Amino acid sequence: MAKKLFILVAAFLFVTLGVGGCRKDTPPEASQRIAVVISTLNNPWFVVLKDAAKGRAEALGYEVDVFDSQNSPAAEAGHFDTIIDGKYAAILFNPTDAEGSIASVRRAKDAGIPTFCMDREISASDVAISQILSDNFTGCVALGEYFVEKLGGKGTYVELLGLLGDNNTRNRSNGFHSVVDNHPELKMVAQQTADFDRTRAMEVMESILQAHPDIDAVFCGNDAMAMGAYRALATTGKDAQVMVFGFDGAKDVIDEIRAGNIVATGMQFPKTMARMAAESADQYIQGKRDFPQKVPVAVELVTQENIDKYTAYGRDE
Amino acid sequence: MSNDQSVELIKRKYIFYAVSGVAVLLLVGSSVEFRSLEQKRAEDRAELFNPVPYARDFWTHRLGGVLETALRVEELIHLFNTDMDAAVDKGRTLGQSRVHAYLLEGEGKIISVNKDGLCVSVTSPEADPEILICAGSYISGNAVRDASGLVDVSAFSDTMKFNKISFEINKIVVQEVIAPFLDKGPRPGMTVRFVGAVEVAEEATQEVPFGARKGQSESDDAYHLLKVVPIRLDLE
Repeated sequence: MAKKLFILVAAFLFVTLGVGGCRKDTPPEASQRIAVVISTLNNPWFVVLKDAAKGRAEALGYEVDVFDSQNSPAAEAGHFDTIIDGKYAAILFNPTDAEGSIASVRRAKDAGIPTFCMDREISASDVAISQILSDNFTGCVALGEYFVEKLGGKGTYVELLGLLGDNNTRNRSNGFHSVVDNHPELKMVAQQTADFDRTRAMEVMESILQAHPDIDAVFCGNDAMAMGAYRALATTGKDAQVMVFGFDGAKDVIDEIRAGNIVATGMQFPKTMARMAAESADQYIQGKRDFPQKVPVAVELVTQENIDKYTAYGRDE
Repeated sequence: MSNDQSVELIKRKYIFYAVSGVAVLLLVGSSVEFRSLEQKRAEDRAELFNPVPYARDFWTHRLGGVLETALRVEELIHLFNTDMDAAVDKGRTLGQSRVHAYLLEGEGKIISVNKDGLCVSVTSPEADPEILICAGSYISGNAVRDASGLVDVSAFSDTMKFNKISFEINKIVVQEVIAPFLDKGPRPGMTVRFVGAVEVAEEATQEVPFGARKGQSESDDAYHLLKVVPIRLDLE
């Protein structure tokens, strides 16, 4: 009997320690699969980010699977379960939430799978291998300065914010206000979230216009919302009166700037960020370990004056 | 019950306790995350991060040590206007960017004073200004933070903390450099000595060099000026 119990104890310890205790330090089996996890594919900008990450990883010889989190941290956590079980070699990750996504990245790290953030950051510096991020704050400082110049330092305006859990939302708004708030004759009459979503922005803008029909400008935390705001203004015949400012460098906004309908945007470089993330993942898999934790990628001001230098999602080189 | 049976029962009891104890330990262990003390301290520091004392420490104790590396303003302007690649090599770059930051020093004659600052000529002939020493009611951007090379973005758990540092440094510049300097009453014709920071895009001088006229107007706006955020300012 004692022998049987001893065997049971040994088996129990082997199973628990073998699976749980050693899991942290055991590298995954050699894999040539990379996971690309994107916050949402319901926005063309993120589709470009996904395509560029997938394309570069495939060009480097990897098999790539794409996961759409649909702006849901829960869906995102589920994707990480699948990725960890699937023993992927690396994750190219566009998070849904700066705080909420940390746990998933930590689980991947504990399972020995490196994560490389693209565009959006997580508020931790010890779980992802590297985070390649748009320099949103500085980009919106430049947008804020141009905003002040175009409005002559006075007037009323509206701000449409993106997802409130995303650091990009706050960095963009903070950068913009670090300039605009120094001009007391510029009055913000409404500040509302439209979740980075075009349809939502159109609805929010229509509602705001009923309360504030005489605004001079609207600053939007991304181009999808700028397009929604512009459509709402066009529907009510106010598009010539109200200046629209976006952020992203998406194709439809670049087209509208070229047509003289939208005033400016901040050009992010999704293809650059995705390429850098895929190449970093490849270098990590090849053995490199020394990566900067945060790599800001500059955002450039695109206006009707310099639009000829830019294309959708990038720049003419 | 024989002695042998009693010993067997005691053995079983101990083995039962041992198995139960190990099981409980494993259950508790899997519910607890062990992290290094240093990691915990780093997280505590991040949570407690306050940009105001950080900027004050940067300004009072750290910045002075790197100001001696400042480049001469006239040399830098010459490089920007003639060899941008060489100028880029002398600057600091945050991440992936076509904008580069520099510490610079020099002196020059004040040509005019306006709401944004002082238009200053730093090369001869002293007729046209090449730089604008910012002296308005506020400063924006990251010139001082990034030109110093003293603040590493990777040291911060999120970039908002990193950006707030610039905001606080800029407030110090306005309150402790610009305001007392303006109290001295700078006027055209006076000579100003300065140490400062600039951010320059690679294409800044592609069409018009610094110091050249970009329009026909006679106002200050007619000149393409290098914008300098002051760190030290004195009248001679």
